[in-house]
Amino acid sequence: MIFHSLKKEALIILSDIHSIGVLLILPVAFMLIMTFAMSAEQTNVVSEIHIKVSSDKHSYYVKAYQDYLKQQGFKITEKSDLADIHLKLPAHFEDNILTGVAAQSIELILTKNITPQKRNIVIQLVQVAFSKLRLHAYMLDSGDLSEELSLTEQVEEIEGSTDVSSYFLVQIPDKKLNSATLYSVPSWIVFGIYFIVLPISITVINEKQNGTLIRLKTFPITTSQYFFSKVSAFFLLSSVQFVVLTVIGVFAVPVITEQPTIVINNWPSYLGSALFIVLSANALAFLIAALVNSYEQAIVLGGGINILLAAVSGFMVPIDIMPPVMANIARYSPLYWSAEVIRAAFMNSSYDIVLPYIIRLLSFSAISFIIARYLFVMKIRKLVWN
Amino acid sequence: MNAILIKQLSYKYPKNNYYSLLDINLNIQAKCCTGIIGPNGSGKSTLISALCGLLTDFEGSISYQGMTGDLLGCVKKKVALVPQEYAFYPQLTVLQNVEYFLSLCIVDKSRWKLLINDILTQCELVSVKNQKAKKLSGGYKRRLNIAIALVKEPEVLFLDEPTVGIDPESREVIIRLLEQFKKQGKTLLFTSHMLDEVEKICDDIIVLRDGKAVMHEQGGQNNILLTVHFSTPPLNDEFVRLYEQVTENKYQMRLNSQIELSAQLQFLASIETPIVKMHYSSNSVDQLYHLTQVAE
Repeated sequence: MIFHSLKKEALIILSDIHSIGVLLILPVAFMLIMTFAMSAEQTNVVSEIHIKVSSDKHSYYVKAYQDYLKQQGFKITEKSDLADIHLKLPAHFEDNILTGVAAQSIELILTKNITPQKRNIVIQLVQVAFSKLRLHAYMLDSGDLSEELSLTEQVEEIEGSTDVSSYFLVQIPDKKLNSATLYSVPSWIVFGIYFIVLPISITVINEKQNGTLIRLKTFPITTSQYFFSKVSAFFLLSSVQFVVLTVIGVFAVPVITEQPTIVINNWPSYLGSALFIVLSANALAFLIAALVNSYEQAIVLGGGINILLAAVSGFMVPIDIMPPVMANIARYSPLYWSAEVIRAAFMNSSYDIVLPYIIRLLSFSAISFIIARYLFVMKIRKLVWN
Repeated sequence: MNAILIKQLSYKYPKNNYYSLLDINLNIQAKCCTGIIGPNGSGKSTLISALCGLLTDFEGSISYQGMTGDLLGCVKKKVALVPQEYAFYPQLTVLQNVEYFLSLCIVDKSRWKLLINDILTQCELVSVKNQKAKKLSGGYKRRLNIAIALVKEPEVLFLDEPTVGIDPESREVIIRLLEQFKKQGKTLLFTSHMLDEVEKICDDIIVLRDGKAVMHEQGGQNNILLTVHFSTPPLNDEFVRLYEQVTENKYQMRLNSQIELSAQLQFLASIETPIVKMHYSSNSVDQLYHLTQVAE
């Protein structure tokens, strides 16, 4: 019975382009897009930002400040309509540079082109440029910077003396253990696996609507037998999906995105983790399938919950940059636990790290399956000939 | 021998304050075809739901060949359903559908091939067995719907509008199939709005109205209507006692069998009043259905 059930469900999924799209194409597309988006070769966030510096007079220090802003990566413009940032310098700007307390503030006006994500970086860089200008003024005043040098040469000297990169020895982890692929591939494998909710829900709705469930009710199998044959079939299908997504994520995505390859050191452990993830995804899917009664509900509830859980689990916005409240919510999501289990296998982390997530996944699966089976039996019990 | 015995069956849906089935007593004969007719909302679906064990909290009793107790258990062993909807998987081929449903039955694997061939041949589906169900015509889909029911090798078949929405040729195939089942000794119960079809196939007819089984026409009783036209009213006392006057010179009588008809023809030949015209016709299901309405 399980073999024929598996064959039936596989043929149904394979004949439906939407199911294949949701289970394979969508997660692979996300893997590629998010890996590209998170790769180290990001463009400089300020390189395209135009800044206009306004002052009542074009003094030596105003010109120097513009040069330091250029050194930070900004483009200087005189046209207001081109400017993304307007920097209004107060009157007697140069008189207050060295006082330590500004008599009047420098107005930093940001236009809507400066997104919230860029805002802090932009403000910091404008302030760094001003710090260098103050050092410039101080060194001129103390005679440590020759007045005989041209402004460009003076700026170069200040830039050179404030370049502290040689003071630091930055040790970054092995790229293979800290790449964009390592972050995005597990997330989107999990995302794809949990999307099994749609084919499962739609199959159950079809069977209900076309009278197959009523017919099956009169066949010599119990509702529980039918439920478990269906669970077994989808469990095997999800496992195959997991393997396919892993192969694409581990071997193809790093090549396409020119990122370091992912190495799975412990395949048995990885595949073992996969079973817990597949189990959990199917448990959630059957729970939702038992709740919904129409295609609309399946798409809104099934697809919606999956996307919401992916969002709160840090798949779209990394957890590291989420506010603490959001990051805490993520720690209660089965998608987050699942992604952490895969990530741990990729990074060859110890069992101590993985075990709590596996226990949570197993508990979640058990509770979800018990509720799903109860709801499924109740649903079938209520069926009458229409 | 009765296949299904229904005693004082009543059922009220929890949300309703009226009975959908009310005090139904029926004796459905084994190896016969019984039609269930009635307007929408008359209780046909509820009756079939009850007979299939899909309703659990009804009043009265239903027993299959004397077996009481677990109704759904009896249904799972003996009964197969053919819903009006195409209750199969359109993405699978005809053969894959039959195989899948067979896998749910307790049938020895060694018999599968033979059984599948037999079912496909019987339902005239061999030529399309490798076609996807969704690509079949309406007639073939109806036959596949029936074929799937046969994998259970049922003693009793419930069919809901088995010929709805198909062309006359396919309809003939299905009617032929149902007649074949009857010959094989299966008990058939089916609902239909095609009264001529019910009349053609069914041995017994149940007319349902407002949850009551208004008439259970069994074995074609009262199924011959003899009509006699005279030029002047007949004076024969025996004739006047036996026949019902329809108009001034037109009289009718209902008969149960051909033997009774022969006897009446002999009797009519003996009366003196000249007969202008005489004819007899089968008392159609259509008349039965409308008589039920009039009786109410």
